[in-house]
Amino acid sequence: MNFPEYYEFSFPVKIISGHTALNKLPVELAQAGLSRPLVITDPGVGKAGLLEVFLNAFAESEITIGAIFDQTPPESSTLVVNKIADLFREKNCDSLIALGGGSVIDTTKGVNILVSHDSNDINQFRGADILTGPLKPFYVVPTTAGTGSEATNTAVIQDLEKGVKMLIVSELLMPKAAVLDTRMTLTLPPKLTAATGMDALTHAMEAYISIQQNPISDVFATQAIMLVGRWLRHVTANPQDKNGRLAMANASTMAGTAFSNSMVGCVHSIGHATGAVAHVPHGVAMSVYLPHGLRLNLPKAAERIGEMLLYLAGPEVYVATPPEERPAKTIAEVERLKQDLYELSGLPRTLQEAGVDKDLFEKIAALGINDGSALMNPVELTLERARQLLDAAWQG
Amino acid sequence: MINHYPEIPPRTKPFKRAINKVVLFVLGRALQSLSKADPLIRAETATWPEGFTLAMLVKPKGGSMAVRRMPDLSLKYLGSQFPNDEADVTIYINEVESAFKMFTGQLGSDVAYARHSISAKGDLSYTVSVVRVINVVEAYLFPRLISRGLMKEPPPIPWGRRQSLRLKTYLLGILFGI
Repeated sequence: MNFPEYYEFSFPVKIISGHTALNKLPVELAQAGLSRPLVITDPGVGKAGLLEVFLNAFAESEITIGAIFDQTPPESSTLVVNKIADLFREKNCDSLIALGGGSVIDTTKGVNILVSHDSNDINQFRGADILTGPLKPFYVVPTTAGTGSEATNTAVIQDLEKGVKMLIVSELLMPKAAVLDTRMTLTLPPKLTAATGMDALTHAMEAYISIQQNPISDVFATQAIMLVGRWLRHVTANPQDKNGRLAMANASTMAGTAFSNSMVGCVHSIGHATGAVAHVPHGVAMSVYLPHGLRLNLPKAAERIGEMLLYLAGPEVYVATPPEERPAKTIAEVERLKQDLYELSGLPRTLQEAGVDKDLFEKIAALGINDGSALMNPVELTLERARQLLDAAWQG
Repeated sequence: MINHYPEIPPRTKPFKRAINKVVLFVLGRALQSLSKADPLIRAETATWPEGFTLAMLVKPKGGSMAVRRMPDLSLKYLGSQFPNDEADVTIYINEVESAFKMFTGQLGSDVAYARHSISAKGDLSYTVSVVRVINVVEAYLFPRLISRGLMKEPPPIPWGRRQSLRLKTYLLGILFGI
Protein backbone atom coordinates (compact mmCIF):
# COMPACT_ATOMS: atom_id res chain seq x y z
CA MET A 1 0.00 0.00 0.00
CA ASN A 2 1.41 3.37 -1.04
CA PHE A 3 0.82 6.80 0.38
CA PRO A 4 0.90 9.49 -2.32
CA GLU A 5 4.21 11.32 -2.46
CA TYR A 6 2.31 14.47 -3.41
CA TYR A 7 -1.33 15.40 -3.88
CA GLU A 8 -3.70 18.34 -3.99
CA PHE A 9 -7.27 18.43 -2.78
CA SER A 10 -9.72 21.27 -3.23
CA PHE A 11 -13.33 21.48 -2.12
CA PRO A 12 -14.58 25.01 -1.47
CA VAL A 13 -18.28 24.09 -1.75
CA LYS A 14 -20.60 24.57 1.20
CA ILE A 15 -23.11 21.71 1.44
CA ILE A 16 -26.66 22.55 2.49
CA SER A 17 -28.53 19.27 2.85
CA GLY A 18 -32.05 18.59 4.07
CA HIS A 19 -35.62 17.76 3.17
CA THR A 20 -36.36 21.50 2.75
CA ALA A 21 -32.78 22.76 2.39
CA LEU A 22 -33.72 25.09 -0.45
CA ASN A 23 -35.45 27.42 2.02
CA LYS A 24 -31.97 28.39 3.27
CA LEU A 25 -30.64 29.48 -0.11
CA PRO A 26 -31.99 33.07 0.07
CA VAL A 27 -30.19 33.50 3.40
CA GLU A 28 -26.96 32.27 1.82
CA LEU A 29 -27.26 34.82 -0.96
CA ALA A 30 -28.14 37.64 1.40
CA GLN A 31 -25.18 36.84 3.67
CA ALA A 32 -22.91 37.00 0.63
CA GLY A 33 -24.28 40.47 -0.17
CA LEU A 34 -26.14 39.24 -3.25
CA SER A 35 -29.64 40.29 -4.26
CA ARG A 36 -30.21 39.55 -7.95
CA PRO A 37 -29.38 36.02 -9.12
CA LEU A 38 -29.93 34.68 -12.63
CA VAL A 39 -31.54 31.24 -12.49
CA ILE A 40 -30.64 28.72 -15.18
CA THR A 41 -32.80 25.63 -15.58
CA ASP A 42 -34.40 23.38 -18.21
CA PRO A 43 -37.97 22.70 -19.37
CA GLY A 44 -38.15 19.38 -17.46
CA VAL A 45 -37.62 21.13 -14.13
CA GLY A 46 -40.62 23.38 -14.75
CA LYS A 47 -42.79 20.45 -15.87
CA ALA A 48 -41.94 18.50 -12.73
CA GLY A 49 -43.15 21.44 -10.61
CA LEU A 50 -39.68 22.02 -9.15
CA LEU A 51 -39.50 25.64 -10.29
CA GLU A 52 -42.54 26.37 -8.14
CA VAL A 53 -40.85 24.81 -5.11
CA PHE A 54 -37.77 26.87 -5.90
CA LEU A 55 -39.63 30.18 -6.22
CA ASN A 56 -41.58 29.50 -3.03
CA ALA A 57 -38.29 29.16 -1.18
CA PHE A 58 -37.56 32.79 -2.05
CA ALA A 59 -40.85 34.08 -0.62
CA GLU A 60 -40.45 36.76 2.05
CA SER A 61 -36.75 37.13 1.26
CA GLU A 62 -34.83 40.16 0.06
CA ILE A 63 -33.77 38.44 -3.10
CA THR A 64 -35.18 39.36 -6.50
CA ILE A 65 -34.69 36.73 -9.18
CA GLY A 66 -33.13 38.80 -11.96
CA ALA A 67 -34.32 36.40 -14.65
CA ILE A 68 -34.99 32.72 -15.25
CA PHE A 69 -33.58 31.02 -18.33
CA ASP A 70 -35.57 27.78 -18.57
CA GLN A 71 -34.63 26.51 -22.03
CA THR A 72 -31.27 24.84 -21.39
CA PRO A 73 -30.93 21.98 -23.89
CA PRO A 74 -29.84 18.42 -22.88
CA GLU A 75 -26.28 19.25 -23.98
CA SER A 76 -24.86 22.66 -23.21
CA SER A 77 -23.58 24.64 -26.18
CA THR A 78 -21.66 27.80 -26.97
CA LEU A 79 -24.78 29.41 -28.47
CA VAL A 80 -26.84 28.90 -25.33
CA VAL A 81 -23.99 29.96 -23.04
CA ASN A 82 -23.55 33.21 -25.00
CA LYS A 83 -27.29 33.86 -25.01
CA ILE A 84 -27.56 33.43 -21.24
CA ALA A 85 -24.45 35.54 -20.63
CA ASP A 86 -26.14 38.39 -22.55
CA LEU A 87 -29.26 37.92 -20.43
CA PHE A 88 -27.15 38.12 -17.24
CA ARG A 89 -25.69 41.46 -18.38
CA GLU A 90 -29.00 42.91 -19.59
CA LYS A 91 -30.72 42.10 -16.32
CA ASN A 92 -27.85 43.38 -14.17
CA CYS A 93 -27.61 40.11 -12.24
CA ASP A 94 -24.97 39.66 -9.58
CA SER A 95 -24.88 35.86 -9.19
CA LEU A 96 -25.90 32.56 -10.80
CA ILE A 97 -28.06 29.67 -9.64
CA ALA A 98 -28.12 26.38 -11.55
CA LEU A 99 -31.35 24.47 -10.96
CA GLY A 100 -31.11 21.17 -12.81
CA GLY A 101 -28.90 18.24 -13.78
CA GLY A 102 -25.47 17.96 -15.38
CA SER A 103 -26.24 19.97 -18.51
CA VAL A 104 -27.77 22.89 -16.61
CA ILE A 105 -24.84 22.95 -14.19
CA ASP A 106 -22.25 22.78 -16.99
CA THR A 107 -24.08 25.54 -18.87
CA THR A 108 -24.06 27.73 -15.77
CA LYS A 109 -20.34 27.14 -15.29
CA GLY A 110 -19.80 28.24 -18.89
CA VAL A 111 -21.96 31.35 -18.42
CA ASN A 112 -20.03 32.19 -15.27
CA ILE A 113 -16.74 32.17 -17.16
CA LEU A 114 -18.12 34.53 -19.80
CA VAL A 115 -19.79 37.01 -17.46
CA SER A 116 -16.86 37.04 -15.04
CA HIS A 117 -14.33 37.67 -17.83
CA ASP A 118 -16.70 39.88 -19.87
CA SER A 119 -16.19 37.67 -22.90
CA ASN A 120 -18.31 36.09 -25.64
CA ASP A 121 -15.86 33.38 -26.64
CA ILE A 122 -15.73 30.35 -24.37
CA ASN A 123 -13.21 28.78 -26.74
CA GLN A 124 -10.38 30.89 -25.34
CA PHE A 125 -10.83 29.33 -21.89
CA ARG A 126 -10.50 25.70 -23.03
CA GLY A 127 -7.95 23.72 -21.11
CA ALA A 128 -6.92 22.41 -17.72
CA ASP A 129 -5.99 24.73 -14.85
CA ILE A 130 -5.58 27.84 -16.99
CA LEU A 131 -8.70 29.75 -15.96
CA THR A 132 -8.09 32.81 -13.81
CA GLY A 133 -10.44 34.22 -11.22
CA PRO A 134 -12.34 35.40 -9.42
CA LEU A 135 -15.63 34.24 -10.93
CA LYS A 136 -19.13 35.42 -10.00
CA PRO A 137 -20.83 33.80 -6.99
CA PHE A 138 -22.51 30.63 -8.20
CA TYR A 139 -24.92 28.22 -6.46
CA VAL A 140 -26.22 24.82 -7.51
CA VAL A 141 -29.48 23.05 -6.77
CA PRO A 142 -29.12 19.61 -8.37
CA THR A 143 -32.29 17.86 -9.53
CA THR A 144 -30.64 14.49 -10.17
CA ALA A 145 -28.47 12.40 -7.88
CA GLY A 146 -25.60 11.13 -9.97
CA THR A 147 -23.56 13.54 -12.06
CA GLY A 148 -21.96 15.18 -9.03
CA SER A 149 -21.45 18.28 -11.18
CA GLU A 150 -22.34 20.45 -8.18
CA ALA A 151 -19.02 19.40 -6.67
CA THR A 152 -16.74 19.17 -9.69
CA ASN A 153 -14.17 21.39 -11.32
CA THR A 154 -15.19 20.53 -14.87
CA ALA A 155 -17.48 21.93 -17.54
CA VAL A 156 -18.18 20.47 -20.97
CA ILE A 157 -19.60 22.88 -23.54
CA GLN A 158 -20.36 21.86 -27.12
CA ASP A 159 -19.34 23.98 -30.06
CA LEU A 160 -22.15 22.97 -32.41
CA GLU A 161 -20.67 24.83 -35.40
CA LYS A 162 -17.35 23.01 -35.18
CA GLY A 163 -18.86 19.79 -33.83
CA VAL A 164 -16.46 19.55 -30.89
CA LYS A 165 -16.88 19.26 -27.15
CA MET A 166 -14.86 21.80 -25.23
CA LEU A 167 -13.53 20.75 -21.88
CA ILE A 168 -12.66 23.27 -19.21
CA VAL A 169 -11.09 22.12 -15.95
CA SER A 170 -10.50 24.54 -13.08
CA GLU A 171 -11.25 24.56 -9.38
CA LEU A 172 -12.64 28.07 -9.90
CA LEU A 173 -15.66 26.46 -11.56
CA MET A 174 -16.87 25.02 -8.27
CA PRO A 175 -19.94 26.70 -6.78
CA LYS A 176 -20.06 28.54 -3.46
CA ALA A 177 -22.73 26.16 -2.23
CA ALA A 178 -24.66 23.07 -3.32
CA VAL A 179 -28.21 22.74 -2.01
CA LEU A 180 -29.28 19.11 -1.66
CA ASP A 181 -33.03 19.30 -1.16
CA THR A 182 -35.00 16.05 -1.02
CA ARG A 183 -37.90 17.54 -2.97
CA MET A 184 -35.69 18.06 -6.03
CA THR A 185 -35.17 14.33 -6.66
CA LEU A 186 -38.43 12.83 -5.34
CA THR A 187 -40.03 12.76 -8.79
CA LEU A 188 -37.17 10.96 -10.57
CA PRO A 189 -38.51 7.74 -12.13
CA PRO A 190 -36.98 4.43 -10.89
CA LYS A 191 -34.90 3.72 -14.01
CA LEU A 192 -33.34 7.18 -14.01
CA THR A 193 -32.78 6.90 -10.26
CA ALA A 194 -30.94 3.62 -10.81
CA ALA A 195 -28.88 4.93 -13.73
CA THR A 196 -27.81 8.14 -11.99
CA GLY A 197 -27.05 6.20 -8.81
CA MET A 198 -24.76 3.89 -10.76
CA ASP A 199 -23.10 6.97 -12.23
CA ALA A 200 -22.35 8.14 -8.68
CA LEU A 201 -21.03 4.69 -7.73
CA THR A 202 -18.76 4.69 -10.79
CA HIS A 203 -17.41 8.14 -9.90
CA ALA A 204 -16.58 6.92 -6.40
CA MET A 205 -15.07 3.57 -7.38
CA GLU A 206 -12.97 4.96 -10.20
CA ALA A 207 -11.80 7.82 -7.99
CA TYR A 208 -10.76 5.30 -5.33
CA ILE A 209 -8.47 3.36 -7.68
CA SER A 210 -7.26 6.30 -9.79
CA ILE A 211 -3.60 7.23 -10.15
CA GLN A 212 -4.53 10.60 -8.64
CA GLN A 213 -6.23 9.02 -5.60
CA ASN A 214 -5.36 10.61 -2.26
CA PRO A 215 -6.39 10.05 1.38
CA ILE A 216 -8.94 12.87 1.42
CA SER A 217 -10.59 11.92 -1.87
CA ASP A 218 -10.70 8.37 -0.46
CA VAL A 219 -12.85 9.57 2.43
CA PHE A 220 -15.42 11.04 0.05
CA ALA A 221 -15.25 8.04 -2.30
CA THR A 222 -15.73 5.40 0.37
CA GLN A 223 -18.62 7.25 2.02
CA ALA A 224 -20.29 7.60 -1.35
CA ILE A 225 -19.83 3.87 -2.06
CA MET A 226 -21.31 3.05 1.34
CA LEU A 227 -24.37 5.25 0.79
CA VAL A 228 -24.99 3.81 -2.67
CA GLY A 229 -24.58 0.26 -1.31
CA ARG A 230 -27.11 0.96 1.42
CA TRP A 231 -29.66 3.10 -0.39
CA LEU A 232 -29.71 2.73 -4.17
CA ARG A 233 -31.81 -0.46 -4.28
CA HIS A 234 -34.14 0.92 -1.63
CA VAL A 235 -34.72 4.25 -3.39
CA THR A 236 -35.21 2.60 -6.77
CA ALA A 237 -37.89 0.39 -5.19
CA ASN A 238 -39.32 3.22 -3.04
CA PRO A 239 -38.95 6.48 -4.99
CA GLN A 240 -40.89 8.50 -2.39
CA ASP A 241 -38.54 7.62 0.47
CA LYS A 242 -37.22 10.97 1.64
CA ASN A 243 -34.28 9.72 3.66
CA GLY A 244 -33.14 7.51 0.81
CA ARG A 245 -33.40 10.36 -1.66
CA LEU A 246 -31.35 12.64 0.54
CA ALA A 247 -28.76 9.92 1.13
CA MET A 248 -28.38 9.39 -2.62
CA ALA A 249 -28.11 13.15 -3.24
CA ASN A 250 -25.30 13.21 -0.67
CA ALA A 251 -23.66 10.15 -2.24
CA SER A 252 -23.67 11.88 -5.60
CA THR A 253 -22.07 15.04 -4.22
CA MET A 254 -19.45 13.08 -2.29
CA ALA A 255 -18.61 10.97 -5.33
CA GLY A 256 -18.36 14.18 -7.37
CA THR A 257 -15.98 15.63 -4.80
CA ALA A 258 -13.87 12.49 -4.91
CA PHE A 259 -13.48 12.35 -8.66
CA SER A 260 -13.07 16.08 -9.02
CA ASN A 261 -9.88 15.62 -7.01
CA SER A 262 -8.67 12.25 -8.23
CA MET A 263 -10.32 11.75 -11.64
CA VAL A 264 -12.22 8.83 -13.07
CA GLY A 265 -10.88 6.10 -15.33
CA CYS A 266 -11.57 3.69 -18.17
CA VAL A 267 -15.27 3.16 -17.42
CA HIS A 268 -15.77 6.84 -18.13
CA SER A 269 -13.41 6.80 -21.13
CA ILE A 270 -15.41 4.09 -22.87
CA GLY A 271 -18.70 5.40 -21.44
CA HIS A 272 -18.17 8.89 -22.87
CA ALA A 273 -17.33 7.35 -26.25
CA THR A 274 -20.40 5.11 -26.11
CA GLY A 275 -22.55 8.16 -25.39
CA ALA A 276 -21.04 10.06 -28.31
CA VAL A 277 -21.16 7.20 -30.83
CA ALA A 278 -24.18 5.12 -29.80
CA HIS A 279 -26.14 7.74 -27.79
CA VAL A 280 -26.40 5.54 -24.71
CA PRO A 281 -27.34 7.63 -21.64
CA HIS A 282 -24.32 8.24 -19.44
CA GLY A 283 -25.66 6.50 -16.31
CA VAL A 284 -26.66 3.42 -18.31
CA ALA A 285 -23.20 3.21 -19.86
CA MET A 286 -21.56 3.55 -16.44
CA SER A 287 -23.68 0.74 -15.04
CA VAL A 288 -22.97 -1.56 -17.97
CA TYR A 289 -19.20 -1.00 -17.94
CA LEU A 290 -18.39 -0.66 -14.24
CA PRO A 291 -17.66 -4.32 -13.35
CA HIS A 292 -15.72 -4.81 -16.57
CA GLY A 293 -13.67 -1.68 -15.93
CA LEU A 294 -12.82 -2.90 -12.44
CA ARG A 295 -11.80 -6.28 -13.88
CA LEU A 296 -9.57 -4.54 -16.43
CA ASN A 297 -7.79 -2.78 -13.57
CA LEU A 298 -7.22 -5.87 -11.43
CA PRO A 299 -3.55 -6.26 -12.48
CA LYS A 300 -2.67 -2.86 -10.96
CA ALA A 301 -5.42 -2.13 -8.42
CA ALA A 302 -6.60 -5.46 -6.98
CA GLU A 303 -5.89 -4.47 -3.38
CA ARG A 304 -7.88 -1.24 -3.58
CA ILE A 305 -10.71 -2.92 -5.48
CA GLY A 306 -10.83 -5.46 -2.65
CA GLU A 307 -10.93 -2.68 -0.05
CA MET A 308 -14.09 -1.24 -1.59
CA LEU A 309 -15.97 -4.42 -0.60
CA LEU A 310 -16.14 -3.14 2.97
CA TYR A 311 -18.05 -0.04 1.88
CA LEU A 312 -20.20 -1.58 -0.83
CA ALA A 313 -21.30 -4.78 0.92
CA GLY A 314 -20.75 -3.97 4.60
CA PRO A 315 -18.42 -5.29 7.31
CA GLU A 316 -20.01 -8.76 7.63
CA VAL A 317 -19.43 -9.63 3.99
CA TYR A 318 -15.96 -8.06 4.06
CA VAL A 319 -14.82 -10.03 7.10
CA ALA A 320 -16.33 -13.26 5.79
CA THR A 321 -14.37 -12.93 2.54
CA PRO A 322 -10.69 -13.99 2.54
CA PRO A 323 -8.42 -11.07 1.49
CA GLU A 324 -7.36 -12.71 -1.78
CA GLU A 325 -11.01 -13.14 -2.80
CA ARG A 326 -12.10 -9.57 -1.97
CA PRO A 327 -11.32 -7.98 -5.36
CA ALA A 328 -13.45 -10.57 -7.19
CA LYS A 329 -16.14 -10.31 -4.53
CA THR A 330 -16.31 -6.51 -4.97
CA ILE A 331 -16.89 -7.00 -8.69
CA ALA A 332 -19.47 -9.70 -7.95
CA GLU A 333 -21.29 -7.28 -5.62
CA VAL A 334 -21.42 -4.67 -8.38
CA GLU A 335 -22.84 -7.32 -10.72
CA ARG A 336 -25.42 -8.24 -8.08
CA LEU A 337 -26.40 -4.58 -7.69
CA LYS A 338 -26.81 -4.32 -11.47
CA GLN A 339 -29.01 -7.41 -11.51
CA ASP A 340 -31.19 -6.08 -8.69
CA LEU A 341 -31.58 -2.70 -10.42
CA TYR A 342 -32.50 -4.50 -13.64
CA GLU A 343 -35.24 -6.38 -11.82
CA LEU A 344 -36.44 -3.24 -10.01
CA SER A 345 -36.32 -0.74 -12.87
CA GLY A 346 -35.29 -2.42 -16.11
CA LEU A 347 -31.86 -0.72 -16.11
CA PRO A 348 -29.88 -2.43 -18.90
CA ARG A 349 -27.15 -4.81 -17.75
CA THR A 350 -25.35 -5.25 -21.06
CA LEU A 351 -24.58 -3.35 -24.24
CA GLN A 352 -26.96 -5.69 -26.00
CA GLU A 353 -29.79 -4.66 -23.69
CA ALA A 354 -28.78 -1.02 -24.11
CA GLY A 355 -29.28 -1.45 -27.86
CA VAL A 356 -25.68 -0.84 -28.94
CA ASP A 357 -24.79 -2.15 -32.38
CA LYS A 358 -21.62 -4.30 -32.37
CA ASP A 359 -20.53 -2.60 -35.59
CA LEU A 360 -19.90 0.54 -33.55
CA PHE A 361 -17.36 -1.11 -31.24
CA GLU A 362 -14.30 -0.12 -33.27
CA LYS A 363 -15.38 3.52 -33.34
CA ILE A 364 -16.18 3.51 -29.62
CA ALA A 365 -12.82 1.92 -28.75
CA ALA A 366 -10.84 4.39 -30.89
CA LEU A 367 -12.61 7.35 -29.32
CA GLY A 368 -12.49 5.91 -25.80
CA ILE A 369 -8.73 5.50 -25.60
CA ASN A 370 -8.33 9.22 -26.31
CA ASP A 371 -10.72 10.34 -23.59
CA GLY A 372 -8.94 12.41 -20.94
CA SER A 373 -10.12 10.11 -18.14
CA ALA A 374 -7.95 7.30 -19.57
CA LEU A 375 -4.90 9.19 -18.38
CA MET A 376 -5.54 8.52 -14.67
CA ASN A 377 -6.68 4.91 -15.11
CA PRO A 378 -4.28 2.53 -13.31
CA VAL A 379 -3.88 0.20 -16.30
CA GLU A 380 -2.96 1.67 -19.70
CA LEU A 381 -6.12 1.70 -21.82
CA THR A 382 -4.92 0.31 -25.13
CA LEU A 383 -7.08 -0.24 -28.18
CA GLU A 384 -6.95 -3.98 -27.59
CA ARG A 385 -8.09 -3.67 -23.98
CA ALA A 386 -10.87 -1.28 -24.99
CA ARG A 387 -12.08 -3.87 -27.51
CA GLN A 388 -11.96 -6.59 -24.87
CA LEU A 389 -13.95 -4.42 -22.46
CA LEU A 390 -16.61 -3.82 -25.12
CA ASP A 391 -16.83 -7.52 -25.97
CA ALA A 392 -17.17 -8.39 -22.29
CA ALA A 393 -19.88 -5.77 -21.80
CA TRP A 394 -21.86 -7.00 -24.79
CA GLN A 395 -23.27 -10.04 -23.06
CA GLY A 396 -22.42 -9.15 -19.47
CA MET B 1 13.14 51.78 8.54
CA ILE B 2 11.87 50.71 5.13
CA ASN B 3 15.41 49.56 4.22
CA HIS B 4 15.12 46.82 6.80
CA TYR B 5 12.44 45.24 4.68
CA PRO B 6 13.91 45.08 1.18
CA GLU B 7 12.09 43.54 -1.77
CA ILE B 8 13.18 40.03 -2.55
CA PRO B 9 13.02 39.25 -6.25
CA PRO B 10 12.68 35.55 -7.17
CA ARG B 11 15.92 33.61 -7.00
CA THR B 12 17.19 31.85 -10.10
CA LYS B 13 18.09 28.24 -10.75
CA PRO B 14 20.25 28.68 -13.84
CA PHE B 15 21.50 25.09 -13.93
CA LYS B 16 18.06 23.52 -13.90
CA ARG B 17 16.69 26.12 -16.27
CA ALA B 18 19.55 25.43 -18.68
CA ILE B 19 19.02 21.66 -18.49
CA ASN B 20 15.30 22.13 -19.09
CA LYS B 21 15.96 24.23 -22.17
CA VAL B 22 18.42 21.69 -23.55
CA VAL B 23 15.96 18.83 -23.01
CA LEU B 24 13.15 20.81 -24.65
CA PHE B 25 15.42 21.17 -27.70
CA VAL B 26 16.29 17.45 -27.58
CA LEU B 27 12.60 16.56 -27.26
CA GLY B 28 11.65 18.74 -30.22
CA ARG B 29 14.36 17.30 -32.43
CA ALA B 30 13.62 13.75 -31.24
CA LEU B 31 9.92 14.18 -32.03
CA GLN B 32 10.87 15.41 -35.50
CA SER B 33 13.25 12.54 -36.14
CA LEU B 34 11.24 9.69 -34.62
CA SER B 35 7.95 10.77 -36.20
CA LYS B 36 9.46 10.01 -39.61
CA ALA B 37 10.09 6.37 -38.76
CA ASP B 38 8.34 5.08 -35.67
CA PRO B 39 4.96 3.47 -36.51
CA LEU B 40 3.55 4.01 -32.98
CA ILE B 41 4.12 7.76 -33.19
CA ARG B 42 2.81 7.89 -36.74
CA ALA B 43 -0.34 6.02 -35.71
CA GLU B 44 -0.96 8.77 -33.17
CA THR B 45 -0.13 11.70 -35.45
CA ALA B 46 -2.46 10.20 -38.04
CA THR B 47 -5.31 11.14 -35.66
CA TRP B 48 -4.10 14.77 -35.39
CA PRO B 49 -5.31 17.28 -37.98
CA GLU B 50 -2.79 18.41 -40.57
CA GLY B 51 -1.08 21.58 -39.38
CA PHE B 52 -1.89 20.79 -35.74
CA THR B 53 0.64 22.57 -33.55
CA LEU B 54 1.73 21.35 -30.15
CA ALA B 55 3.73 23.60 -27.85
CA MET B 56 5.38 22.78 -24.54
CA LEU B 57 6.46 25.52 -22.19
CA VAL B 58 8.03 25.70 -18.76
CA LYS B 59 6.38 28.49 -16.77
CA PRO B 60 7.04 31.33 -16.41
CA LYS B 61 10.06 31.74 -18.68
CA GLY B 62 11.83 28.41 -18.49
CA GLY B 63 12.00 27.59 -22.18
CA SER B 64 9.66 26.18 -24.77
CA MET B 65 9.44 24.09 -27.91
CA ALA B 66 6.78 23.47 -30.54
CA VAL B 67 6.13 20.92 -33.26
CA ARG B 68 3.71 20.92 -36.20
CA ARG B 69 2.04 17.90 -37.75
CA MET B 70 2.98 17.75 -41.45
CA PRO B 71 1.00 16.17 -44.35
CA ASP B 72 3.24 13.04 -44.28
CA LEU B 73 2.33 12.43 -40.58
CA SER B 74 5.76 13.55 -39.40
CA LEU B 75 6.30 16.34 -36.89
CA LYS B 76 8.34 19.42 -37.72
CA TYR B 77 10.28 21.04 -34.90
CA LEU B 78 9.44 24.75 -34.85
CA GLY B 79 12.14 25.87 -32.43
CA SER B 80 12.00 27.52 -29.04
CA GLN B 81 10.49 30.86 -30.01
CA PHE B 82 7.14 29.75 -31.40
CA PRO B 83 4.36 31.95 -29.95
CA ASN B 84 2.40 29.54 -27.79
CA ASP B 85 -0.80 31.58 -28.24
CA GLU B 86 -0.86 30.29 -31.81
CA ALA B 87 -0.53 26.61 -30.86
CA ASP B 88 -3.57 24.32 -30.97
CA VAL B 89 -2.54 22.74 -27.69
CA THR B 90 -0.03 24.19 -25.25
CA ILE B 91 1.22 22.05 -22.40
CA TYR B 92 2.53 24.13 -19.53
CA ILE B 93 4.88 22.69 -16.95
CA ASN B 94 4.06 24.87 -13.99
CA GLU B 95 7.41 25.22 -12.27
CA VAL B 96 11.09 24.61 -12.82
CA GLU B 97 11.53 21.69 -10.38
CA SER B 98 8.77 19.58 -11.91
CA ALA B 99 10.12 20.30 -15.37
CA PHE B 100 13.60 19.24 -14.27
CA LYS B 101 12.24 16.01 -12.83
CA MET B 102 10.26 15.27 -15.98
CA PHE B 103 13.17 16.05 -18.27
CA THR B 104 15.67 13.99 -16.33
CA GLY B 105 13.60 10.83 -16.18
CA GLN B 106 12.37 11.18 -12.60
CA LEU B 107 8.71 12.00 -13.28
CA GLY B 108 6.36 10.56 -15.90
CA SER B 109 3.75 12.59 -17.79
CA ASP B 110 0.69 10.96 -16.19
CA VAL B 111 2.02 11.31 -12.65
CA ALA B 112 3.01 14.92 -13.42
CA TYR B 113 -0.57 15.56 -14.47
CA ALA B 114 -1.88 13.81 -11.35
CA ARG B 115 0.29 16.13 -9.25
CA HIS B 116 -0.97 19.25 -11.04
CA SER B 117 2.54 19.90 -12.31
CA ILE B 118 1.10 20.22 -15.81
CA SER B 119 -1.70 22.36 -17.13
CA ALA B 120 -2.90 22.56 -20.69
CA LYS B 121 -4.53 25.11 -22.93
CA GLY B 122 -6.58 24.21 -25.96
CA ASP B 123 -8.39 21.10 -27.12
CA LEU B 124 -7.82 18.57 -24.34
CA SER B 125 -9.10 15.71 -26.49
CA TYR B 126 -5.57 15.43 -27.94
CA THR B 127 -3.88 15.26 -24.55
CA VAL B 128 -3.99 11.48 -24.16
CA SER B 129 -2.58 10.95 -27.64
CA VAL B 130 0.16 13.51 -26.95
CA VAL B 131 1.08 11.69 -23.74
CA ARG B 132 1.34 8.39 -25.66
CA VAL B 133 3.68 10.06 -28.17
CA ILE B 134 5.85 11.48 -25.39
CA ASN B 135 5.97 8.04 -23.76
CA VAL B 136 7.28 6.54 -27.00
CA VAL B 137 9.90 9.28 -27.32
CA GLU B 138 10.99 8.71 -23.71
CA ALA B 139 11.25 4.99 -24.40
CA TYR B 140 13.82 5.81 -27.09
CA LEU B 141 15.67 8.56 -25.25
CA PHE B 142 16.01 6.93 -21.83
CA PRO B 143 17.41 3.51 -20.94
CA ARG B 144 14.64 0.94 -20.38
CA LEU B 145 15.35 0.85 -16.64
CA ILE B 146 14.45 4.55 -16.37
CA SER B 147 11.66 4.76 -18.97
CA ARG B 148 9.80 1.86 -17.34
CA GLY B 149 9.27 3.98 -14.24
CA LEU B 150 7.89 6.90 -16.24
CA MET B 151 4.81 5.23 -17.69
CA LYS B 152 2.18 2.64 -16.83
CA GLU B 153 3.71 0.19 -19.29
CA PRO B 154 6.42 0.55 -21.91
CA PRO B 155 5.22 0.98 -25.50
CA PRO B 156 5.56 -2.20 -27.61
CA ILE B 157 8.77 -1.33 -29.50
CA PRO B 158 10.77 -4.32 -30.80
CA TRP B 159 14.35 -4.48 -29.46
CA GLY B 160 15.99 -4.04 -32.87
CA ARG B 161 13.93 -1.01 -33.77
CA ARG B 162 14.53 0.58 -30.40
CA GLN B 163 18.31 0.31 -30.75
CA SER B 164 18.50 1.45 -34.36
CA LEU B 165 16.13 4.40 -33.99
CA ARG B 166 17.73 5.38 -30.71
CA LEU B 167 21.11 5.55 -32.44
CA LYS B 168 19.69 7.46 -35.37
CA THR B 169 17.87 9.92 -33.10
CA TYR B 170 20.92 10.68 -30.99
CA LEU B 171 23.44 10.83 -33.86
CA LEU B 172 21.40 12.40 -36.63
CA GLY B 173 18.03 13.55 -35.26
CA ILE B 174 19.15 15.64 -32.32
CA LEU B 175 22.45 16.88 -33.72
CA PHE B 176 21.45 17.54 -37.32
CA GLY B 177 17.64 17.59 -37.29
CA ILE B 178 17.41 14.60 -39.63
